[in-house]
Amino acid sequence: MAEIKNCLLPDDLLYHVEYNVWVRNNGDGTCDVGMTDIAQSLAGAIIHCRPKKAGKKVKQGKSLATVESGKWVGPVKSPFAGEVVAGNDAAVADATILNRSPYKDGWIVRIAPEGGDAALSGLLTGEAAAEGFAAYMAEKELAECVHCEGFDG
Amino acid sequence: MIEEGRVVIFVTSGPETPQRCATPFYMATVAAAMDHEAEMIFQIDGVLLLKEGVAEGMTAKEGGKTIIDFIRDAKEADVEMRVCSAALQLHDMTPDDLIEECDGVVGAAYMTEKGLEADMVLCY
Repeated sequence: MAEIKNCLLPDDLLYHVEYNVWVRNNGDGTCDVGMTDIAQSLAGAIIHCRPKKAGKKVKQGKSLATVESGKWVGPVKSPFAGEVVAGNDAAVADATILNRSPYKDGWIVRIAPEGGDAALSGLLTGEAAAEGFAAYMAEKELAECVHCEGFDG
Repeated sequence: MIEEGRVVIFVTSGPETPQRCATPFYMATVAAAMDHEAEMIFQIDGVLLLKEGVAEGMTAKEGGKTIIDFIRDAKEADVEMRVCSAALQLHDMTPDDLIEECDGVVGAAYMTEKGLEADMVLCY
C-alpha cells in the first residue's frame, strides 16, 4: 500500500486523482466508488452522505453523491459515465463511516460503467496513482491525512 | 425529485448579522454539488459581502471558517454570484469595489425573471 504524508492508497484500487476518488472493479460489470483517504481528511468529520438513486445515469465528472461536513460540502464526482446500481445505505445512515473506513465499509456508490471495463482505462493505479496524489497534495498544500479512532484503511 | 433544477438564493444579510452570512453560500454549494444550477443574488446589505476585503475578516461563528472561504467553496462548485445595481448605489459602491468572484451586476427585472424561473428560491 502506498503512503503519502500519512495518506493511504491501497494497491488493489484504481484512482481518479483530480476527482479524489477510488474505484474497485467488482468484475461483474459494476464498480464501487468512494472517497480517498485524502478526500476524507480534507472533508473532516462527515455528517451527511446522499448518493444518487439506483437507475440514475451520470456523465463523467457529474455528481454521484453529495457529502457534507460541518463546514464543507461537495460532490463525489463520477470518474466515468455510467448508471448507478446502488448507493451504500450504511453511509447514508452513518456518514462517519466515510472517515472510519474510506476503502472498505465506506464505499459510496455502485455503478455500471458505460462501455464496461474500457471505461476504466484512464484511471491510475500503483506508482502512477501515488505520484499523481503526491503532486495533487503539493499543489493544494495539503498537510498529513488525519485518521479517526478505529480507522481501518 | 427534480434531478437538475434551478436554485436562486437572495442574500440581503450583511456584515452586521454575520451569523446569517455563511449558510446562504453553504446552501448554494450544496445545490451545485447536487448538479443543480445555483445562482446567488446579493441585495441591500448582502452586496457588502462581495466588497473587496470584507469577507476575509468575517466569520459566522467566532473562530469559525471565514466567509471568504465559504465564497470560494461556492465558486469552486460553479455557483454564480451577481449583485443588485441599486444596492451598489445604496452603499456608494461601484463594480470596481467587488471581489473577482462576482459574476456581474443585475437589475430588478433580471432578478424577478430568475426568481420566477427557479424551482427553489431561498432568502437570507
